[in-house]
Amino acid sequence: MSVDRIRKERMYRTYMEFFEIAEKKRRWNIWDDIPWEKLNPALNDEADAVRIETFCGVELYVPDYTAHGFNMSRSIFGQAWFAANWGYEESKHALAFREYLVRSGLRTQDQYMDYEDQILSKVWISPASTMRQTSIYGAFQEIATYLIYHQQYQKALREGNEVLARVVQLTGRDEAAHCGFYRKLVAFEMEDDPQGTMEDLAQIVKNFQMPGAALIPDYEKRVQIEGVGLTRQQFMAHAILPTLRSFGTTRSDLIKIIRAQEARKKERRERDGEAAPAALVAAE
Amino acid sequence: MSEEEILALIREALVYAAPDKAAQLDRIEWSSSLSNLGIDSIGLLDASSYIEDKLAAHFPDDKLARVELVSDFGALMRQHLQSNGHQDERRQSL
Repeated sequence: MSVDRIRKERMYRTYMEFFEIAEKKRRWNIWDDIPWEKLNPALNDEADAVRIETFCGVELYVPDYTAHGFNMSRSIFGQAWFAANWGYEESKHALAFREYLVRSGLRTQDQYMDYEDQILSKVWISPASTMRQTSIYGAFQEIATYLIYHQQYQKALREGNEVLARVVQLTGRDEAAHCGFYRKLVAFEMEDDPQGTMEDLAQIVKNFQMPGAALIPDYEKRVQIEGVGLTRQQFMAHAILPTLRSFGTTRSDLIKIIRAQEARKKERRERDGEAAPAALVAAE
Repeated sequence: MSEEEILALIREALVYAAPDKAAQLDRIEWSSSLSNLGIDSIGLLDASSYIEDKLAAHFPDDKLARVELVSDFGALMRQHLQSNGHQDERRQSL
């Protein structure tokens, strides 16, 4: 899909706004901004280990995520440069979680390396096949990740775990900023092509799952542990409904489109089902 | 609307949203959990949209998001029916 110059310019400006805040207010590093000296292993248990390991696992697919992001966006400065910045920020998340796991003794170096091998033996494939779908998926995935980290931030504060609180605060803040950027891109898409964007939105939401769902070992078992994922109510209240509002649409509009897509799919299936014997006859 | 009618409408809506789970949904009770029935977020939105169309209602987003049990759905419907009933009564008294 080609993007005109006006849109490219808007995306460039949007990226510059995002990048300015990132550079001036949001930059952090794992050496100076996390109080490692306050690490207290007694504050952790195996459930914490599984949670952090799972977060780390999801972040470890950065090479696949960025490859997809670059392939989709290389011709558009604003979005391609965002993909580069995004990859940089997400790569720090994996680093921080890895450091936390090993420094706290929740996992030994060998255990971590075994896990990393398992993770990287699989390749993440994006559910989005266009830039617009990528932005829509990104908007939902980033808000969900933010909410998961925010829950952990509150839990760590309650438990007096300053180090973990800082890790998930910094990573969560980045995720929230990424979500904001994707929401703006989707808003542009809505202005340019509301029907097409709604069709993509319906497709993405209907099939939405977090990136680790099909990749992380024992994912289903892991999400049974509180805080690894979100409940349906949390996802609905804090991810789906606010995201729809930010796109300027409603749940009833979304459902209308999903129903229309389902009806078209059914029609196609029936047509193909009827056409199949005729094709066989023709082949004979 | 009687309690049986409310439950029947919820069942109808859930089957509409998740026809592949029709057999299971046939046995729902007030205490059934939508998650355990395999109703995901979109299924819930679809089912509520179905009920809203039938009742000419609009459930508040924040309340809809909190629905987990069939009885929560029932409570939303009752709330709508009651407020509508009150409006009808008010209209009659004017």
